Amino acid sequence: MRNNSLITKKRVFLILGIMLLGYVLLTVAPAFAQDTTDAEYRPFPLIGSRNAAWIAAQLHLLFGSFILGVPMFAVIIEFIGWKTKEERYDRMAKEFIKLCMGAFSTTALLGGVLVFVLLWCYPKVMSKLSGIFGPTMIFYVILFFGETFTLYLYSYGWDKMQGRFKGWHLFLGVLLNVWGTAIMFVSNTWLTYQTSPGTQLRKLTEKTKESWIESSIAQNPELTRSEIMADVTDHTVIPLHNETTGEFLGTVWEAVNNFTWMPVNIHRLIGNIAFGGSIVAAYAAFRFLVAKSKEDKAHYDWMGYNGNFIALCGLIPLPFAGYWLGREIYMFNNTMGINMMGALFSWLFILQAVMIGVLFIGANYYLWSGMGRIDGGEVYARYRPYMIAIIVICVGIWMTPRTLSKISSASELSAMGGGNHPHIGFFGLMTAKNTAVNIIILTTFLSFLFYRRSGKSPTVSWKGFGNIIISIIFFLGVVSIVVIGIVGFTVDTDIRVNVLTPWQVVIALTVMFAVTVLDIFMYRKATTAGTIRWGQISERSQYVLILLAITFTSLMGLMGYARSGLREGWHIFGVMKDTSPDAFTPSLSSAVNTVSVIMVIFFALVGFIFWLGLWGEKKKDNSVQLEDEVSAESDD
Amino acid sequence: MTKNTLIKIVSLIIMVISFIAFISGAGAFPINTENDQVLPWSVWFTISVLVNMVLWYPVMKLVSFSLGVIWFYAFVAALVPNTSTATGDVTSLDWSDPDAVAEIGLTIFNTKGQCSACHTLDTSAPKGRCPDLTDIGLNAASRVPGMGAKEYLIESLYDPGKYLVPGYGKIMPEVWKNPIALTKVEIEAVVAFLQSLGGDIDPEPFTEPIDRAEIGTTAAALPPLLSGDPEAGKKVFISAACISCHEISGLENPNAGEASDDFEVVTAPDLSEIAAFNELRYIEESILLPHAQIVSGYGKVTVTANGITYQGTLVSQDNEQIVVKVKADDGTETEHTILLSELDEEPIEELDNLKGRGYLTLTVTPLDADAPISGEIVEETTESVTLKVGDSTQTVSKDAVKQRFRGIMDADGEEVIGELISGDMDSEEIVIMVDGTEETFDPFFDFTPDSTMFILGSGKKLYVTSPMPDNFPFLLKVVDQADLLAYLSTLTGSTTTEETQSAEASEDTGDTNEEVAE
Amino acid sequence: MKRISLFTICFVIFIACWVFLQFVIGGVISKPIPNSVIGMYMALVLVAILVHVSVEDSRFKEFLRPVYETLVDDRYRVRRLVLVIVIPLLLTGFSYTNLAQKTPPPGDPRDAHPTPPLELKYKDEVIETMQKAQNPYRHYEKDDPETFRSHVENGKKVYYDNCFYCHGDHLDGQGHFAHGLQPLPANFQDPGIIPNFQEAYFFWRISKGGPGLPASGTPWNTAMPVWEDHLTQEEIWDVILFLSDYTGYKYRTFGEGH
Repeated sequence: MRNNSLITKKRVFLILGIMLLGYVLLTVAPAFAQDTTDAEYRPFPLIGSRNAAWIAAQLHLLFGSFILGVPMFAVIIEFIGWKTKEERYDRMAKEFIKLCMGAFSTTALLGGVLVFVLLWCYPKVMSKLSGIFGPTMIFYVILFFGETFTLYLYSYGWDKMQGRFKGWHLFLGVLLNVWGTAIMFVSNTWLTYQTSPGTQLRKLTEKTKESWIESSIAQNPELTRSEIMADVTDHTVIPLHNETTGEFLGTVWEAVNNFTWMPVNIHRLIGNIAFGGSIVAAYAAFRFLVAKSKEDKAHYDWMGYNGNFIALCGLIPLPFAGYWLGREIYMFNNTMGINMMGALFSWLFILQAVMIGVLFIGANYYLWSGMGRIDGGEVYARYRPYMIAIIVICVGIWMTPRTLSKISSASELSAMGGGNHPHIGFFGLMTAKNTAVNIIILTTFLSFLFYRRSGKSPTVSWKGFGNIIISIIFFLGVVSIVVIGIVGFTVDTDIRVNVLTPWQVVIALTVMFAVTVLDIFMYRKATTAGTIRWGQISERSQYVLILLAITFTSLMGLMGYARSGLREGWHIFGVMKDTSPDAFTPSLSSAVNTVSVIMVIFFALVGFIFWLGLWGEKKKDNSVQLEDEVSAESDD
Repeated sequence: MTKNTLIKIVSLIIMVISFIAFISGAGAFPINTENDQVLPWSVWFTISVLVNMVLWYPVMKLVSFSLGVIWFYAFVAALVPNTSTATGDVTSLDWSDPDAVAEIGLTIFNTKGQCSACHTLDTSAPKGRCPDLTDIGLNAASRVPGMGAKEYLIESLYDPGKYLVPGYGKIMPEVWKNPIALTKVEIEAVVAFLQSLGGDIDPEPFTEPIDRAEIGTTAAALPPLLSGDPEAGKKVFISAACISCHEISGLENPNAGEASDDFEVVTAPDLSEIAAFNELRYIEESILLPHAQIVSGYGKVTVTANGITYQGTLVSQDNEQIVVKVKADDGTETEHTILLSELDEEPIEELDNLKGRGYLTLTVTPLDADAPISGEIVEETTESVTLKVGDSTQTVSKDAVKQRFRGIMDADGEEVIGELISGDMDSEEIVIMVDGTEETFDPFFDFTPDSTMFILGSGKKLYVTSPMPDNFPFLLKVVDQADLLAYLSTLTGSTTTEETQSAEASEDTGDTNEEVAE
Repeated sequence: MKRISLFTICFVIFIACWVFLQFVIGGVISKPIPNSVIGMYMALVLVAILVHVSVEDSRFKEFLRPVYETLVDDRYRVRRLVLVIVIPLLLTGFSYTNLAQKTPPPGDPRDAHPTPPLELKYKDEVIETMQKAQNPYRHYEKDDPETFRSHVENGKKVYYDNCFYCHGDHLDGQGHFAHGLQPLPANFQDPGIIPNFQEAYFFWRISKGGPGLPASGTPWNTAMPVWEDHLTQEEIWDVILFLSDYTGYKYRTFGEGH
């Protein structure tokens, strides 16, 4: 006992030390950078500045997602356990918070590395950013301390706060996630500002007037104050940046609240839930595959199911959030939008479609596999071929490129009569793709509905009628989504983007909501014909869980390249030019190769953390009396 | 160590190596070709992952599977088209190591220079769009007598059309111009690379045979590459009734001797050797815009001289006189020689585009003059016209000329003509100076309809048009037109094979630097 | 009668899908689909079949049974022998054709819709940023329909004086010259052209023509002239009005964001 508390204390000091180092680095950053303003760039040995920053940032982000996503998962699961009074939920939640602790220190360490790399390689950019975002960086550090202490309280108070204080413990968990989300929001400001630095005009106020007059005089010394003032009315709008020097003239809030900040926040928040769930599921799959006893298999099968369920809940709204982000990018600068969807990055979205296709097909595959371990699940098997066909056709539509000229030979082009196929080409338009995505989501939801119903039969008197209603809702939903999709070919883009597509989303969400509510009432007092035989699932389905986790990670890396690459030759889009030798945008292939290397490192590190967990448990088997304390030790 | 363990370990090693090789973009193994790097390493990797998945225990299976998934996305990314904004500019070369320079040249050859899109480097490869460059370093010296290898290569890069390899079209762009826009240093590297193909690299610097500043680096658009089918074009030539007027040796006119209601059968140029003397560009223009260039002796003309109107074919024309061949209703043809000075002056209502409408002379009265001036039209702009009056020239502004009015009285059929003082057809009255007195008329009730005319001047007119239908482009479908052009471009009069003919045709098109869609 | 094995059924379905894509859609119904796209669809069909047969253990075993039998059962020695010979031969043939094709006929490596510059220019004069540039005559559509008509009419004149040779009488990219051009002239009747780009993008493309394309828009054999050398700003804006007026499509616009 004494020994273990000593280890715990040691670790607390270690992590605090790392964070203190990070804090020192952050606060001295402006000074450090200002010292060497004459040096714009400094080369990073061997792999180059860009790759160094890329690897450090991506790893930091992946671990950051891990420690933001997994606590979200843990709190949800802990809540379920508290409400259902099933202890296994509580145990699972705790297990993951323990795993989080190891990932937490890794994240902090990688964050320090990232700050160091950026300060070393890009002093001028960092000095500019810290000049604008100075106050937020202090905020960030405070939040980071808040999160650390909450995590420790949450983790080490788990057992002591059982029972009477469970509500407070959950509150701690929620608080932990609030800190985590706030940290992410703060760091998002820096990178979204780089992408969309608010070149929009803003209203003239007393405060902004001064800075604008000063910059106008600096640009044109012949002007006098009164001359400038003569042109100014209450409605005059002025630019956010000095047009010649690029100096930022606005308030911190104006830099923070840029076009892509909120969409990126929401996108990442939902993405973290999905990522956290899928990592948990992958961990469970790994444990399932190496487990020897039936009990273990059953436990990890159950865990994998729960992880995947949370991941699915995150996955379903994710395309909608992504759509919003894309729309805001168009709003900010349509050159950037065209570059993203139509030019330099257009093929990236084909790869993205492949990945999301894998996610949805995999998620459905897992649900269908799971129905095999429920007695009575086979009733729904007859619908499966049609559902496979629908999903695959929709994925096919989503993956079809608009312009085929780059992937066709000259003879194929002339046979088609141009770069766009006369019929298949329609699949390339956004309205077809949006329709396909909504149908995929509804089909996945139907799979889940079947899974839920497997082995149960409702007892309510209106069950036949209820099923008819549910069928009608589904039918109407799908028909209206398809009709809107077809109408979308004929209307103005403005209407399509702002009216039709949101309506498709609303319809899809409404169908899911209405059916869920009906279904809950229908199956409230259902008789259970067959129990779930946990542990009797095929190994293939466990590989699918791992496939999903890797695909999520790949997707994060890929879209990170897109988000960052959209700036092209700019550090801050339109304001600060990148003049380093790395100013070009690498090709998709080389970017994905870099991401692959990062992923291998990430999974090696995560695997190491998992392995440590496994190792600790083996110890636990040997020495039962030290149970919890040793497992706490093992995660370091 | 059992055999199984050995296989397992070897397969694991292959998996790791092939993954690293794939990610780092290494060449294939054991066959390493320029074009196919993706396939072989991916095959090694796939096989080793499959073997690992079968043989290893769970943890290694998982590692293999995970690596396989990560690799799969990298593989898909390598399959789709890839664009990088990297310029890869070469700013200086280190000539102490010529082989390294040639290596840089090879990179430019395959990337920025876009040379490999057309040129092959392998004699066994199918014939490309441009000559194969194997041993070009050796062969370059003997291509043009008296020209060294390096000299030839430089010339070929800066002015690709100058020395064409027989059998190849003039399709290579000037690589120093946009969009390829190689810098001098880059061209030096490419030359070094080309020399290294069977020859020795000559590091001696050279001066560019061009002046970038003066010529500019923007390339003009190339003319269209036509892809019609000559055989189909032959059918179009017959079915579109071209054959009714135009003769092509060896082609029989199915409607010979028959008259047509739709068009007049005239004598038109023989097209048997049209492509031998004319660019494709010209043939194209002749179909789209028949009036743009009219072959001497085939134009259609309507002139009046001494009150007689002659309508017929313009046989010949010089500065003094024209010869018009008139075909009477009974089919007999007579030739009339008309002196240009005898042409009647026709009234002109609009002074725009006089030359384009065939006016040779102009008679106008400027606002500030009393008497009209008359002379040959020398120069014309949108605002003014310059006349040769006697030995001197005089420029008249088109806006500042006196307007005359002509009308035939409704009451007595008498012609009224005089200087317009005020009014127009919309006003209630119109005032004209007739014989020194101002007379007032009502524009609507006093004159017969269609007889009124506001005359700005008069001139002798010789307007030659083509007898070809001017809506000709509308009569033909796009495809038919391309086929027709392709057919016409084969008409060189000689009996060479079709292949060389089309090669010649594309050479012809290469001679023009006109822009396409004007 | 012997039951047809699941493996055979799947194989037949797979081939049927290929025939459907290659010959029914690519021949009877529509124009040929490029091999790359067919390959992509066939990969999806393969995934669908594998998903279907492998979800349930029993069916997966049934699916794999003929494979196992061929590999181990002595009754199928002939079939095994044939496969052992044929599969390597097929692979060799595939690799050979892949490697022998040194110069795959270049398709069209250019970006169809390259990224426009940040600023919209006419000759060298900056009109506005690409984001904010508007058609100065667009507002007449509401304010003064008569003036708007006259601008559209002028645009029509400009179009038929200059553009229709390539872009066609009906704006469908089927002009007289179109057949010989590479890349083909834009087809404005295509729902993916006008609705996806704002008017400023069209102004940029018209005024700078083919020679003004950024590097990603190259290479081309033929290209549109630099129309700013021949047309006034007003004429270009008018012809842009005409394009949407004639086709009925509206240009991409951007509402007030954020």
